[in-house]
Amino acid sequence: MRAPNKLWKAALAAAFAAVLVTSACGSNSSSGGGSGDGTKNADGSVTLTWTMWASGTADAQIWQNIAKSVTDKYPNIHINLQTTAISDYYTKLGTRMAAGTAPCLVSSQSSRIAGYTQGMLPLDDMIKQNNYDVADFDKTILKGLSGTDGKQYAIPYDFGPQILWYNRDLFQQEGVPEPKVGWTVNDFLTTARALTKDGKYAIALYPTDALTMIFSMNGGQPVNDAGKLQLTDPRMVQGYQTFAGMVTKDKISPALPGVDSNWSKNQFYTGNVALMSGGPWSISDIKAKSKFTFAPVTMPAAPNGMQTSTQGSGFGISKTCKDPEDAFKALTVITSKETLSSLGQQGRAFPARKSAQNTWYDQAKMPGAKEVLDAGIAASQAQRYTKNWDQVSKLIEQFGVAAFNGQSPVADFLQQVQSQASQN
Amino acid sequence: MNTAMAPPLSTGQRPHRTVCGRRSARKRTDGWAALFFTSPSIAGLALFTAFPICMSLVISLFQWPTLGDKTFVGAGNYLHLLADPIFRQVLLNTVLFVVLYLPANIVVSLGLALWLATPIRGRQFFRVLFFVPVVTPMVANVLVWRLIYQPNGLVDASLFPVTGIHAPNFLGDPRWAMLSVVAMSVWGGFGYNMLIFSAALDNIPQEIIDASRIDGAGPVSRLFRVTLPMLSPAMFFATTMTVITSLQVFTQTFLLTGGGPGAATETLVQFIYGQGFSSFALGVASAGAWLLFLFIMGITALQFLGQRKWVNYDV
Repeated sequence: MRAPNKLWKAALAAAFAAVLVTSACGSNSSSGGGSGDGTKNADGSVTLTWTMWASGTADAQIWQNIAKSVTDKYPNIHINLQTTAISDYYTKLGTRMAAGTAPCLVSSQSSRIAGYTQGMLPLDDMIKQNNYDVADFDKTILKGLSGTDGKQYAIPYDFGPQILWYNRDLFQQEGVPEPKVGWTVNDFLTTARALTKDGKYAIALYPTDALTMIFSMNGGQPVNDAGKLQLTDPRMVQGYQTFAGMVTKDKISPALPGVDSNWSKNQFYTGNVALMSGGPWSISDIKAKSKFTFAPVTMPAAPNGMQTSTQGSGFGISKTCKDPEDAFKALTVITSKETLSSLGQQGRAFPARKSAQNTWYDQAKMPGAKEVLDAGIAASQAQRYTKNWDQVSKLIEQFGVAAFNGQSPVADFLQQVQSQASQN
Repeated sequence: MNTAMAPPLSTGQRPHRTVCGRRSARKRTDGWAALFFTSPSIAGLALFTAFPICMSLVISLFQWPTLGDKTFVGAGNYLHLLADPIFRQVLLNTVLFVVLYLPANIVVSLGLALWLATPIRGRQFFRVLFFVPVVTPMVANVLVWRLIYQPNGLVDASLFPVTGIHAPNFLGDPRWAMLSVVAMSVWGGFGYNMLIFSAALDNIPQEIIDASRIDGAGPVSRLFRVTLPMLSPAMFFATTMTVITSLQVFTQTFLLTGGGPGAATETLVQFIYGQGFSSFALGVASAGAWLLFLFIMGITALQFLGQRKWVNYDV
């Protein structure tokens, strides 16, 4: 029995050694360039991979058509579109960037881009060299897609100011006058109290939704200019106390049933609450999931005037891309006026280009929408985010639910999230 | 780096030991043949099991962000975790889950298995019915249980008209969240152990039962002196496996409560997942995974040591 035993040991040792060698090599290559995407062929053609999130086949087809339009304009550029569900999108992007195999064309939301700019190319020089006119894009979302270093990392395709959507049928049923552009925080509270009866509530307040609403209420931002989290800033504390009080004291929002980021939307879709915070991007979901007539209204104005924050998404180029010049050419096509107009027409996105926005209003067929969005855009600023925003928003959900239900003090909740999120 | 690659034994090399004649020579050839035939699975094992395991050990010694430089920190990640109050809290939460879940699971599954062992109508039907939650996807279960637990949900709506008291906000109240998760987990998990107990009960030789009857044992003393001791190997298997899987609890808390409210239901695996895929602190996540592994190893070893006192392998 001895000889085979020894053989086994030797074989295992060899396998183990091979594993160690490959692991060492693995860690070496991951910090180097590796095999980046976008290697040019001998005939001058190039295939660029483009990673994007999509919610289904119809959504993926919209982006596939755009990928095709790049080759129509630049026949040497071929786009290999890879779509992923949004829930897995950033995990996949992060691991691919870490492995040095990031796709050339990267998509990101303004809320998440700070975590990935280290692996992306600043586009400022290429914008200049190619004379790409960015003046047509909304300024706040351009800022939202730039880094704390002030450099532009992505070119936007959609954006929107935060607004409120309301259930018109419910307002009529309860005999409450509909809100108008420019309504104030006091108007909001009066309306909300009038709406809360017969088992219905004014709005379902969830900690992560309230986060951006605080800016409209008192100008508080969760992140400072340097990109650092500041949840314990007095304005944030005061803002959160007000919103938590709307659940516990004013009771214009139902008690939170636990951690469920879709809860506030679902409460609105099913007609249990009359208002929902969102943006122009919410319209297709409301249309698909609800059975009532609805309309948008601006965020309630604070005593010193109305202010709101913008969010949006765009496309950039990864650092490991072998052919950034052609990748930039592709970017100019997928953020062109034609492309954004077609996205607006299909209702897929509220175009980040001012000249393309009318297409969205035409398809939305919603009277008053233009007035609301124009007012919102005029009073908007870029929402700031930290690198670890995914972690921050998860912690806010986790700890905020208990605070909103009155089971833990608001100041403790913010302190807790602030200290946990600043650890890494 | 190539020096790390130990040369495998070449066929020409003679072993230093004096070996006697043909018999062991044939054995040696058998060994090579065995190696040849098992090489695909060894390669698979090395690539998909041994490599990730070693790699995670290596990563756990580094500060390893997905982007940017990796720095060697030695035991730093482990020390950081052991000193971290949140880590201690999730460890406590995990232990609390096991302490609540294990007895509930064993009592329910054993009780139903004993009931099913009696001559009742539709025995097979009930067996299948109780096993259904095990095979239904957890995501679907969670959606249904949310509707049961939420304010104005099934429990609240059926309790309020009768008693005039609202049911607690099960998933929104830190005091109730863990109990609610445990209740759902027991419902979803008892079927498996019940099947094991059921099979073990069927295997108890009828002669032993008959002999105990002749000796005058009543139903109660038969249960405690004959049936349960005969079931002890199955109970040992069930408790060991249940402890291992429940220390790794993730899906229920991740989907039902998201670890909240606060950190009331955040478990070890969820903490590791958050560190790895939300904060992208892969070093800390790997260190956490190794601590969990050591913890599970320790508990399982204790269970194996303890089995001598109560498990009966005589048939």
